[in-house]
Amino acid sequence: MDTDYVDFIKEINKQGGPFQFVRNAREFPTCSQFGRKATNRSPKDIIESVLNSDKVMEAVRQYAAQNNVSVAEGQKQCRNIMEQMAHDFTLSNVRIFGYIITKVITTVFDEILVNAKQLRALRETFKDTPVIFIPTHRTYIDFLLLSVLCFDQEMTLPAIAAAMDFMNSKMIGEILRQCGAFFIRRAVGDDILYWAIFTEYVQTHIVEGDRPVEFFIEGTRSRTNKSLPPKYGLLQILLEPYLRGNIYDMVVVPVAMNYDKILEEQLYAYELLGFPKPKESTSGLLKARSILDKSFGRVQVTFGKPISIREHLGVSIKRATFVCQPDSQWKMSEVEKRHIRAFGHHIIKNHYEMSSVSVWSIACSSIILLTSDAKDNTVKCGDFLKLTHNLIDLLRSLEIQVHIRKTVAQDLERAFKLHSDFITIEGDAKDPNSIIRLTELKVDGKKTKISKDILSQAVSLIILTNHANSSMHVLSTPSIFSLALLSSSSIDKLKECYKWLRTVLYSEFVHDPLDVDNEFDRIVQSFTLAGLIESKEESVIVKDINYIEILSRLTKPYLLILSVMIDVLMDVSPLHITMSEATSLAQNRLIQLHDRDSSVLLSSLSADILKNAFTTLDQRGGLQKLARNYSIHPEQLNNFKKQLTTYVELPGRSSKI
Amino acid sequence: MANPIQQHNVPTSYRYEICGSTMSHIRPWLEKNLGGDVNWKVPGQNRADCKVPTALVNQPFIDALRAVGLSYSNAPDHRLVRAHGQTMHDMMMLRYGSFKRVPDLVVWPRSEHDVTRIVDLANAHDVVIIPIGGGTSVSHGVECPADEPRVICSLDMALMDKIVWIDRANLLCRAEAGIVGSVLEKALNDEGYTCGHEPDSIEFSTLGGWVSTRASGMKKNKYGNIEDLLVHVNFVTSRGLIQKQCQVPRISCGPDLHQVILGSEGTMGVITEVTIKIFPLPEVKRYGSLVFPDIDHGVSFFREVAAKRCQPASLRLVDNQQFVMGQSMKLDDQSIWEKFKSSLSKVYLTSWKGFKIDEMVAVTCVFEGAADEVDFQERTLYEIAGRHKGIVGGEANGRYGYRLTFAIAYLRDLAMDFGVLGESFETSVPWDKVLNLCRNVKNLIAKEGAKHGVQFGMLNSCRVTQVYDSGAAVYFYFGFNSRGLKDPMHVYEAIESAARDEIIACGGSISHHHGIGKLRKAWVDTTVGPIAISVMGAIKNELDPKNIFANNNIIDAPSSKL
Repeated sequence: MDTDYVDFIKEINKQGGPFQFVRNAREFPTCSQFGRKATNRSPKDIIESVLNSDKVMEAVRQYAAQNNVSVAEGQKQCRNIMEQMAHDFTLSNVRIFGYIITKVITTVFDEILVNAKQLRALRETFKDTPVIFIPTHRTYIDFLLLSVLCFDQEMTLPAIAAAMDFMNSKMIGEILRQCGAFFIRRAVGDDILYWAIFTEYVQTHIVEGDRPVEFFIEGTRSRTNKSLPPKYGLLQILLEPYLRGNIYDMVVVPVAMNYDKILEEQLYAYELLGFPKPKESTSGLLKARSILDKSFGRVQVTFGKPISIREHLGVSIKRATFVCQPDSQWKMSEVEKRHIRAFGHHIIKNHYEMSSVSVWSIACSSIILLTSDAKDNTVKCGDFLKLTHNLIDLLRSLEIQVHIRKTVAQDLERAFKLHSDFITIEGDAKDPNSIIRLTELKVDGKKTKISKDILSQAVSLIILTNHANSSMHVLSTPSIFSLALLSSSSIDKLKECYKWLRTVLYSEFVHDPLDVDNEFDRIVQSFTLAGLIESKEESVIVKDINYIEILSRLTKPYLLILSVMIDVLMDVSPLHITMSEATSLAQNRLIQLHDRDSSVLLSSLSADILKNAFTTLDQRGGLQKLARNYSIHPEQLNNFKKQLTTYVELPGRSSKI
Repeated sequence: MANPIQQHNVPTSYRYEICGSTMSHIRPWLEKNLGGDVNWKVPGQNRADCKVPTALVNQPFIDALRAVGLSYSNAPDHRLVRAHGQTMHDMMMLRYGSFKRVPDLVVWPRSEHDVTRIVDLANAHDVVIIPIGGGTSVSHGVECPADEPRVICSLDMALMDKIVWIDRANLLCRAEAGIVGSVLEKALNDEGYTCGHEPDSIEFSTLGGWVSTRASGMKKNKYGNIEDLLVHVNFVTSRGLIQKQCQVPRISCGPDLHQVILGSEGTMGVITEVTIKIFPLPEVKRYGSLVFPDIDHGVSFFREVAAKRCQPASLRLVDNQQFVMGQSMKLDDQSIWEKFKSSLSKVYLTSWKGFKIDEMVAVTCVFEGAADEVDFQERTLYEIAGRHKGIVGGEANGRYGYRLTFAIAYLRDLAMDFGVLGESFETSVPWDKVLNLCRNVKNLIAKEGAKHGVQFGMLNSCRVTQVYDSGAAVYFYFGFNSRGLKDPMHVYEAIESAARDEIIACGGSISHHHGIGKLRKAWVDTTVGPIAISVMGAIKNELDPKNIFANNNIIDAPSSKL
C-alpha cells in the first residue's frame, strides 16, 4: 500500500520549492459532459445564472407574496445572500495564497504522504463527469491541503462548501473565497430565499461542471477525532441533479486525511472543556505563528476509489420514481431519503476503511486504561508497554491490522517525541518503573467555574483521549460487543443487547443503523475465530474474560456518563433545563465522582460527550424539546437508567455461563 | 394451392434505389462514419435459403376452410414473410438465421363475413390467429410465440383493401382494414381529399394496422393522430362483432370501447372496417427549414411554438449528427452542404451568427392549408424562430429533410451489407424533460457501445418529431458496425434495452406510437401498474376466452382455466 504514496514535500522540493511550485505552468481540465458545452463561466457568471434561475425566481415570488414586499426587494435580498455566499475563484491569487499555504504545510509537517496517482486519474474523469470530493474533517488544513494537492496534480481546484465561521475574519474569508471556498450558514431554517440560492448555487456547479465540489459530510471539524454523523440534507442536494436526470452521472471521491497531530489539538481540548470558542479572527491566526516552530509529524492523504453515483444508486433508487413530478416540484419520499442516508454512511465507512490504526492510538488507549486503574493515576512504563503489545496482539487476532511503520518501539519513541507537549516519560523509557506523565497545560481560570487545577489535568487527558479516538472506528464494535457479552450469554439476548448499546452510543460511534445485523454476525464470527468466545447451541461462552473486559472498558465510560446525566436530570426541579445547564451540572457531578473514585477520569468532562449524552436522552424520550429548553420526563429516564444498570453498575462481574 | 395474392404490401429488401439520387452517397458516409469497408461485407442469405420450420397441420381446420372456399396457403415463403416485422432482429434472422416458429398457414379473407367465419373456425378447432396488415411492426408484434403448440394461422388482410364509401357531407371515409396507407391516400387525393395520416411506413402499413397499434402520422399537428381521426370501427372477436350503432362526432356513453380497440395489437380480435375523418386537399403545401445554433435553442423554440399552438402540419428537429449526416449524403449538385462548407453562408452562420458546425441543428417543417393561412403560419413561425436564434434555411432543405425519413429503412438494408446494425426507437416526454432525456439516452448509447467493444464509431442521433401541448415525441437512431464483435446481436439488444430503461428513468414513455408487441412488454408493468394489467387481462379473457388471438403481445394472456 505504501508504495502508492508519494511524499508531497519531497515533490515540492523537486519542483524547486514552494515559490517555484506555485509559479509552474499547469493545465487544469475542464468538464464537458456529453451533449453539453464546456462552460467557461466566471464566478460572476455563475452568480448571475443562480439569481436568474427558475428556482430562485420562484422563491422570490413566493417570498414577496408572503412578506408583502416587492419582487425587486426580494431580488435585492437574494443578491446580498449570494454575495455573502459565493466564491470568487481567481487562479492568479490562488498562486499567491498557495505559496503561503505551501510554505506553512511544508514547514510544520515532516511528511505528507499522498496516493497522488488516484488523484491524477480524476483529471480524466472530470473531463466528462462532475466530481465531488468528500473528505474527512479534522482541521482547517484539510481543504487547504486538498486544494494544494489538486493544484500539484493539475486537477481542477474544487469549489469548497465552507462553514460561515471562517467569515469572522474578513481578510481570511476573502482569501479563502478567491481560493474557491463558498460559505454556508450552519442553520438555514426555513429561509426560502437562502435555501433556493444555496441549492441552486451548489447544483449549478455540478450540472455545468464549472469545477469539482468539495464538501464535508460531517458538517464541521470533528473535535474528538471520531467521525460525526453524516449530514443528509446537503448530500441530498448534491445527488439531486443526478436523480432528476440533469446529469448522466457524477463521481464521488471520499478522501481520508489522517494526521499524526492536528494543529488545533490543544484548542479543541480547551473548547471541549467549555471555554468560549476562540473566534477565527486574523489575530488568532497570527498567533498561530507559534505553530510554525513546532512539528506535527506526518499527514497521510488517501483518495478513495471514485464512486459512480449511477452505479451506486442505480440499484437502490429508481429515478423513474420522480418522473411524474415536474422538474420544478421536487420531492423525495422517505424511502428514497433512507437510501441517501445509507449512502452517507457508505461514505463514512469508506473514510473508516482508509484510516489506518496507528501504534500510537493504541498506546493512548493503554495509557487511559492504566490511568483509570491506578489509584494515583500514574502509569508505569513497563505496564504500558505490556498492555500496548497485548492490545496489538489482541487486535491482530481479531484481524484488525495495526499499522506499524517501523517497529512498535520505534513508532512509540517517535510519537513520544512528537507529542512531548502534553505527555512525557519521566526517566529512561527502557526502565519499566519510569512514569508516564501527562503535562498540566496552562489554563485561564477566570473564564470557568471549575477549578484551575482540575482543568489543567483534564486538558491533556482530553488530548490523549482524542488520540485514542482515532482508532475507535475499528475498536468501537468489538468493545460494544464485549459490553454486551458481559451481561448476556444467549445469542438472541446478546444480539438484542448489542443492538441496544449500538443505538444508545450512536452519537459517539457513528455506524450505519441499517447494517447493524450484519455487523453483529461479523463480530460474532471474528470473536469466535480469535478464540475469545465459543458458540454452543443457542448460547455463547466467553473463553477469555480478561480481554473481553479490557475491550469493554474502552466504551463503558460513555455509559457511565449517560447514567450520571440521568442522575443529574432527575435531581432538577422544576422539570425544565437547557443543554448547557445540564452539561455544567453533569461536569460538577463528575468532578465529585472523580474525587471519590479515581477510575472516573476527568476526560469525561468533555462537553462533546455530555452533549451527546443529553441528545441521546432526548432521542430516547427522556427529554422533550420545548421552545427555549427541554422538559424532563423522570419516568422514561428511570426506565432507561434501569436498562443501563445492566452494563454500568456490574463492571467486571463474570459472565453468567 | 392457388394463391391470388401479389406481395405488393410486403416490403422486400434492396429497394433503396427507389430513393434515387439521394442514396448514391450513403456509401461514402458509411465508410467514413461507421467503419464501412468494401473488403468487409456480410451479405445476407437469399430469402429462399432461410430455413422455414415444417408446418403443423390441423386437417379438420383446413378442411373447414376449404369447405367454405377461403383462400389459404402453407407454402414456406408465404409463411416466412408473415413471420416477422421490420425490427433489426427480424432482419438479422432473415439474413443470417432462421425463425424458430412461423405461421403454419396463411389465410386471406375477402370480407368481414370471411373474417367472422375464420375466427369461428379457429375457436372450433383451437387454432391460433395472428392478424397481419402491412407487416411493418417494429415491436415483434406479428412474430409467433416460439412455444405455441397449436397451429398458427396468419390472417392476412391484404384482400380487404377496398374503400367502402366516401361521405362528402360529413367528411368521412369508410374503408376495409387491409387497405394500404398510400393506396388509400391516392384514392382520396383523386377525389380531392386527404386523410392527413402520414406515418413513415405509409407505403406498406394498413388502415387496420394503424388502429390496432395507435399509430401517429407526421402531420398530426394539423390532422391529429389515429385516435383523433377514428370515428367508427368494426371489430371481430371470438365472441362476435363489436360495433357502435351510430357514427357520431362525439359520444358520452360510459368508457369508450374504441380506446380498447385502439392499440389492442391483435390480442383481442380483428379490425375489419374503419371510418375515419377526411379533409379537403390543402390549397398549398410548402416545405420550410430552419437552422439553430444548438439543440437547446431548437427545443426552446419548439416549446414556444407548442405553447402558442402555432405548429404547422409537421415540425421536426434533427440533432447535429443527423443534420450533418443528411447533408453529407447529398454531395451531388443539389447539395448545399458542400457549397455551404466553403460558401459565404457558412461564414455568415459560423462567424457572424456564432454557429458551430458540430453543434448546429435543423428544423424541417411542412405547411398545409390555404395560401394566406400558410403565409401567416410561415411568418409567425419564423418570427418565433428568430427569438431563439433560428435562421431560415429554405424550402429545398425542408423537402429533403422531410423525405429523408422515408429512406431510413432502406438505408439500413444497405448498411447491413457492411455489417452495420441499426435501429430506431421512439418515446414521448414532457417538455421539461426533453433535453435531459435526449442527452442522457445518447450518452448511455455511446457508453454502452464502448463498454461492449464497438470500435468503428456509432450512429447515435435523435430528433424531436412531434409537438404536443404538454410535451414532445422523440425519435432515436442508433447504429454500429459489428466488425470485431463476437455476438453483435447481443450487443445490439443490450444497448437497446438499456436505452429503454434510461428513457423511462428520464421520464419518457414506453412508446409514443410503435406500440408494445413483445419487444417492450418488460416495461408495461411499471408503466401502468398491476391493476391496470389485470383489467386488460380480464377484457382479453372476456373477448377471447380460448386465447385464439395468442400473439402474446402487450401482456401475457391470463390462463383461461383460472
